[in-house]
This record gives sequence, C-alpha cells and structure tokens, in this order.
Amino acid sequence: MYGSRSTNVYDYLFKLLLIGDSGVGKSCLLLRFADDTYTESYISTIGVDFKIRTVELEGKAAKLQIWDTAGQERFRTITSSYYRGAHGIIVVYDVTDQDSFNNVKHWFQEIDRYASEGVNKLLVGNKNDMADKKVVEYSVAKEFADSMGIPFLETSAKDSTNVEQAFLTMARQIKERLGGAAEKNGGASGAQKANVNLRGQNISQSTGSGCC
Amino acid sequence: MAMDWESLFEAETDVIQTGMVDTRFLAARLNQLYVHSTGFDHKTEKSNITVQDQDADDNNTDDADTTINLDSAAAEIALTPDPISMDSLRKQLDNYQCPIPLLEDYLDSSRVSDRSLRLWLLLINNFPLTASKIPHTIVRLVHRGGVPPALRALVWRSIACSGTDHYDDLSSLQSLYDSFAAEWTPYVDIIARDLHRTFPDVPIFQERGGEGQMKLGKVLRAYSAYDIEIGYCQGLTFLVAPLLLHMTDNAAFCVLVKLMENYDLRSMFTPDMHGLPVRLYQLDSLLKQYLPKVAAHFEHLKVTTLYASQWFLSLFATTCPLSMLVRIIDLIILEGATETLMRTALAVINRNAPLLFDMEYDDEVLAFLLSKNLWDIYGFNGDLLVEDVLSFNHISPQTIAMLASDYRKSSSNKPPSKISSSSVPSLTPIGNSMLSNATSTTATPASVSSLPHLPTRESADWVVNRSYTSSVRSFDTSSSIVSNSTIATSCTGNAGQTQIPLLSSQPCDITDLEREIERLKRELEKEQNRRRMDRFSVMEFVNAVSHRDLNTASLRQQFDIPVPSLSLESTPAGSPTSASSPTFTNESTLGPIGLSEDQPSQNPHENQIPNSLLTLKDESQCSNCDSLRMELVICKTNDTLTRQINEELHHQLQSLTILKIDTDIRSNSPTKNLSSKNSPMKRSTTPTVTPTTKSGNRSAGQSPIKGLATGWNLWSTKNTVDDGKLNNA
Repeated sequence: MYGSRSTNVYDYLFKLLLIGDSGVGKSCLLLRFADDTYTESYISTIGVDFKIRTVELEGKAAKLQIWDTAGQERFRTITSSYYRGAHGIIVVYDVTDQDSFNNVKHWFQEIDRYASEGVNKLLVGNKNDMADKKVVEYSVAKEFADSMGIPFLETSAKDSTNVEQAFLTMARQIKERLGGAAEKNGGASGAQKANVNLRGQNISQSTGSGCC
Repeated sequence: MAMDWESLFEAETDVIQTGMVDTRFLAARLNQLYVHSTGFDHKTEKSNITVQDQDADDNNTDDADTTINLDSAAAEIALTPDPISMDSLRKQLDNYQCPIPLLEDYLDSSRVSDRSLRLWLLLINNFPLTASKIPHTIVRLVHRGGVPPALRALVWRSIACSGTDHYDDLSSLQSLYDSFAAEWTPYVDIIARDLHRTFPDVPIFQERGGEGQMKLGKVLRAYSAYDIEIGYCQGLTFLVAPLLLHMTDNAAFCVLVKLMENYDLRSMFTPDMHGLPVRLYQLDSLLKQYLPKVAAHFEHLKVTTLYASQWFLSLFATTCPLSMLVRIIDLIILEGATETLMRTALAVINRNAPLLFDMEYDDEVLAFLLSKNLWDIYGFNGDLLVEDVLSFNHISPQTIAMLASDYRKSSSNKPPSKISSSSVPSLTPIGNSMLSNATSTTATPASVSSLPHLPTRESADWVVNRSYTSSVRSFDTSSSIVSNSTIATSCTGNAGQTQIPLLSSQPCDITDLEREIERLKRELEKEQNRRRMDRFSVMEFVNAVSHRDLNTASLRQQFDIPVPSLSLESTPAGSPTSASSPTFTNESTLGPIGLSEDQPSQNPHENQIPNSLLTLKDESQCSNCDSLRMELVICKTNDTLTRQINEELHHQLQSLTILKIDTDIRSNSPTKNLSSKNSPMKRSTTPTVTPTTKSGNRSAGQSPIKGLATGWNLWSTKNTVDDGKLNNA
C-alpha cells in the first residue's frame, strides 16, 4: 500500500502544506499518511511541524515534504511564509464542526494572498468516521468545492479512509501541472525548477558529510 | 531560623575557588529583578527587596511581608521572619509524591541532605537576598542535580515571584484567580481544544475532563482574562502543564503571570508574536557565532531557524522528555528565559551535530529537529543536558540583549508590514492596571466586559473579522475617526475582505481593539495638540487684525481669545481632556497693548502694524505687508463687511483640519507666514476658498482681506476633525 519510504531517492520533490482551523485533525491526517499511525492524543501543533514521505506516481518516486501548521489565527505570521514555496495546499475542515467549514473560504483567501499562482488546492473534510456527529454534508461541501473548481474528499485519519487518496490526488495534480515541463525540459520552469529534482540527483544515504 | 552564614560564606568561597561556577546569568537575572521591582538599578541605588511568602499550599506558614535593605549586614538576615520552617519543608519532602512516573528514578537521586535543605530553605524564603549573598553556591546547587522535585513548587514560585512589585500584587493575583477563571473570554473554546493535546503521555493530563485537564483549562482561562492582550496562544499549555505537575493551579497561575511578565516571555505570545522573530534572529546569530560549522551546514541545506519557533513557544516542551524539561525550567527560572532558551537550543544542536552533519536534506534536518529523537542522545540524563547548556555560559546576557537591539534596528529600517511592534508595549500595563482596579470591587476587566458577552459566534466572528483584518494588513484608519464609537466602522472598513465568516473557533483578539483604541487616543491627543497650535495661530492673526479694528472683538469673543499676541512657548501641551476646553480664556492674560474686548473701536494706533508683524517681517516682505496694511485700513472703515468676514472666518474655522498643515507652518510663527511670500502658506493658497454664498456681497468678488481669506484656506483644506469648541456655532 505504501510506496517507497526512503527519503533520499526520488524523481520529484513536492512541497505540501496543511492548513485549516485548530483541531480539525491536520496533524492526525499527516501522522496517518506519513507514519500510518493514529492516536487520539496528539499534541497541538505549535508553529509548524513537518513530515516526509516518498510515494510512487506512475513509476516515478515523488518525495512529499508536508508542512503541518498551527491553526490558531495568530500563527499566520509564521505559517504564511510557507505558502509561497508550496506546490500544493490542502485545506482541512472537520465534518463535525460547521465553523471549521465556514472558515474554509477564509483559508482559500489566505492561499490567494500568500501562495504562488497556480498552486494546487484540495479540500478535505476530516473526521468522517464520526457519522453521528456529522454536520457538514458531503453534498454541501462538494458543491462548494465544485464552485471553486477544487477537488474534494472526505477523510478519516482514524480509520484511514481516503487519507492516502487525498495526498496522492494532490501529488498527481502537481505532477500533471509540473511534471510535463520537468520531463521535457529536464526540469520545471521558473520557481519550480529548484524543487523538482531529477533522477540524476539521487544520493545514497551513506555519503558521510553533508557538503556535496 | 538560625542560619550559620559564616559557614555558608566559607562554602561559597570554596565554590568560587573551584572556578567552575558562572554566576553571570544569575547576577543579570537578579539585577533585572531589582530594576523590575524597584525601578532602580541596585548597582547604583540602595534598593529594598520585598520578601514574600508565596506559600498558599502550606497551612503552617503565615503571610509575611518584610522589607530588607540589600546592603545591610548579615545581622539583619537573622531578623528575617521565617515564613517556611525547616519542619514544614522536611514534611513536604517526605510526603512528596511524584506525579510523573518517568521522574521516579530521578527523584531517588535527588535526596536532599540537611545542609542543602537549609540552603533551599533560605532560597525559598528570600531568593534575592540569598542569591546575592551566596550566588555561587546557589548556582551550583541548581546546576548539579537541579531543584529537588519535592521543593520545586516552592523554589520556582519564590524565585519567579520575587520580582513582584508589591506584595499586594501577588496576593490579589491569588485571590482573583477564581474570578478570572470564571470569566468568559473568547478563548474558552480554543483552550478546551488544546487541553487533551498537551502532554498526552503524562497520566494526569490523559483523562478527558479529568483533574489535570480541568486545572490546565482553568489556569489558561484565568490567564486569558487577566492578560487580555495575549488572551490565549497555543504553546501556553506547554508552559502551564509542567507547573501544574508541581503546584496547585492557583500557584501555577501566579507563576505563569510572573514568568510571562518578568521573564520577557510575553512578547512571543502577543497577537502579532513580535517577540518570536527576535528570538529566532538571536538564535540564528548565535549559531553563526558559536557553531559556525552547523550554521554553514544549515545554510547550505537552506534550513532556517523557523524550526525553533516550536522550541521557544513551548519552552521545548513539545518534544523534550519531562525529566529534562524540568531542568530547563529550573535554569529558566533561576537565570532568565531568553538566555536559557538560547543556550539550550545551541546545546542540543551542538550535541546532535554529528547526526546533523550526516543529513543531506533540509527536510531530514527539520524533521529531526522537530521530533523527540532530538533528545534521544541525552538518554533522559538531565545532568548531561544542564552541563551542555552551561557550556554555553560564555554567551553573556549582554550579547543576547545586543542581538535583540540589532534586530530591532535592522527591522526598523524595513517598511512596517504588519502591526508595528512599537505599538504593542504601550499596552503591557493593561493587565496590571486592570488588576489594581479589580482588587477592591470586581474582577471583571472593563475592556473585556465592554464586549458583548454573547455565547461565542456573533461576537467572536465580529472580533475575529476585525482582528484578522488588523493583523493581515495595517489599519487604514482615516483621520476622521475621533471617537471610540467609530472604531468598529473603521475596523470593518477594509474592502470586502472582512465580510468573510472567519474562525469563530479561533476566537477573537479583543486586544487588537484595545490597541487600536490606544492608538486612536494617542492620535487624537496629537491632533488636539495641533489644533491648539492652530487656535493659537488664529489668535495671533486676530490680534493683529483687532489692533486695526476692534469690531473684531466679536470674533475674539467667539473664540475666547484674549487680545494680545502670545508666544508659542506658552502653548499648553496639556492632557487630552484639557484640549476640549477653551485654553485662552483668562482675561488677565490681556497683553501689552492692554485692550479689552469691550473697548470701542477707537484705536489711536490704527495705522500701525502690530509689533508681532513688524518684528517678524523682513525686507522682501515689505510690499506684502503694506498691502495687508491697506486692506486692514479698508476693513476698518467697513463695519458690516468686517462682520461678514468674521462670519466667514468662523464658518471656515468649523471646517478646520489639521492633517494638511505643513509642519513648517506649525513650527514657524503664523504671523510671519502671513506676510511672507515664500512661506509654506503661500504654497497652498488659492483664493477660491471664499464661500460662494457670501462672496456675492463683496464688491467685485474681492475680499478686502484677501490675505486673511487665503490664510484660512490653509487650515480648511479638509472637512474632517474638529474641536468641540469650534463647532459650537
């Protein structure tokens, strides 16, 4: 189910960012995706947190650098600096919390304000396992996502539903957007060039010092 | 308590002779403490230290508030009351139950001897005095083995709270804790969300709604009501939880308040978090200076110090094992927060340097630095960590402070992008003033209670809307805002951005509103001062005119203007409240010419230019002066017209604005400006100002006192703010 976990051999490097209200389960999604574990008691994210996972996309290895951010409003000063370098941004809300869905619009505005143009977006409704407490209906969220032309998934970090798909959807989209250029020209153009690494750069873990 | 100081001093000498203990940080901390509590630097001033008993847990103790002169001899120390007895301390030691299973091993190793128990007792009863007498012994005591867990509550509290300004401050904090905690703040929801996400591995914080989480929530809610600027910031849970492992929630609240206020932690948690970039800059600089290889490696991998935001905001608590965390807190409390944060960050990076060098990618480094693996290398050995931290004690507090000012200098050169940090410190006293107001009657801070206590949504949305706007873009507050009632309009006045429903789950920053009010108050005060200057200018001119024609007495009367010319120096730079009342009403200030307002229009010197005009004009302005003189003569012969013009003047005065006034004009005598061709006034002069309704009465549309009319133009370019006084017509 999981692709190569090695972090050092890859064809592509994509930077993803997780944003959304505090407590919607961003960290748990990431923990499920990166480490395939789940805990009810995960600590709140202070500032930014970070995890890596390499996945396979159509026979190519794509390393995903995923930045997890604090949801509290005042941390925006810190987190906004991560928007620009991101290839894809996942906006997460909690299907049992109407407010967190209402605020999704606001998070997309944050993306418009800080992120690079053309950045891939994805809307994710988490905690979908809590059917009895669900208040944000799929149809409502889907309609909203469609109106914005953004893919949408309902996930559960707890029972793993759609978590893999969410991140892979994002990765595939980014690859579609950048991959063609990367393969044709030997690298993506412009700002993405530095972040899309070619196979030639593979470095094995055993190379002692960090200075190349 | 009989304490053998002589033997202590001997021990102190021994420690000094070993040369292994550096007390610079303690000394710096002590000094800071004195300055904080007394306003004086104890190096230059004899200062009094207040000894307090902060023990609310121990019923054996009675409150004491004794003032001791720091410079007095040891004899006085003997007179110090003994708020905590040796017996009660020993009892505490024996009955202590470690709430953290992890620490049990560590507890065994920290059995305290009778002698060191006496030392801790001294330290608890009077930290500043003891620390100033035997600093080396104290430092070694804390560095080696740390504070005995059983005594940690007492030691942390007595040290952290020793900077308290007044005993009343602390006791009122304690007594108000419950009422603070009971208050509704917009942070209640977000605090609740974080409770089960703080130290989930520690048993007492595990149970949802259990005692640990309940106390944690209570302390944080109380703090959010106490310090309304900060309210609640994620990260604070990690500061409070270690305190709660050692003391009651009430005591933890007091220590939290003191840590935030006296240890310069506060600035990192404000809505704009302006203290955090300073810390990151300090770490970055220190890394380059003391660990250049690591810094180069990080730079090569493009790893910025942003990873440390998590470290600093949680005091390393998100990843650091508790047994080592408490040692870091020991050091923070004894030697200061910023210093300890920097040294610990450097220490842990340095210790892990070989591992870090092996990492080839930025993400590897970051993932490592933000993970618990960072501390694995210490194997729960707190002594080793402290030793490492101490190995960076050559970084002096001065160096760290200098870096902070470097940062401020370099950032002040950049254009301000968000809320300017300079506007923040002015609000710091809110918590305190609020507290002192609340002591006698109610604990409800006015600024909080002034907001509608709606059950969350609406008010939160509103406030979040406005705070969001303010934090993302600087306030676009026009000068037309003069009263607090209009603030709301301005806050939501930034285009359509504010209409989005925002994070009601992340409640508002009321404090933004507070800050804005403060700013507007200052602005208003400034404006009022300027207006006073304007009135002054008007007066001078009217005086000049009135020497020619006393019918303008009616004008003077309208503005409560005494006849004589006044010097700018006499302008009162008074309080904002005084600005709304007429400043120049005193009849006794009638000037050298001695005219009263009731005097008839018989002026023997009617053709003379007023002194102020004569003295100020220069050669090149003669012609202008002459023409003015002519106009004044004409003016005098036409009573009706003059009155009409006076009316005009009044009309225009009502539409005065200060914003467009060139600073040159304010600094120069306006009388001079009137007669100067090159004066700034001329630049903005256009004759079109004359109100059309009145101009028809004038022959050929020419005002006989054109100079006057154009002069008013200067102050009437914008129809906005005005003094109440000028509006009374």
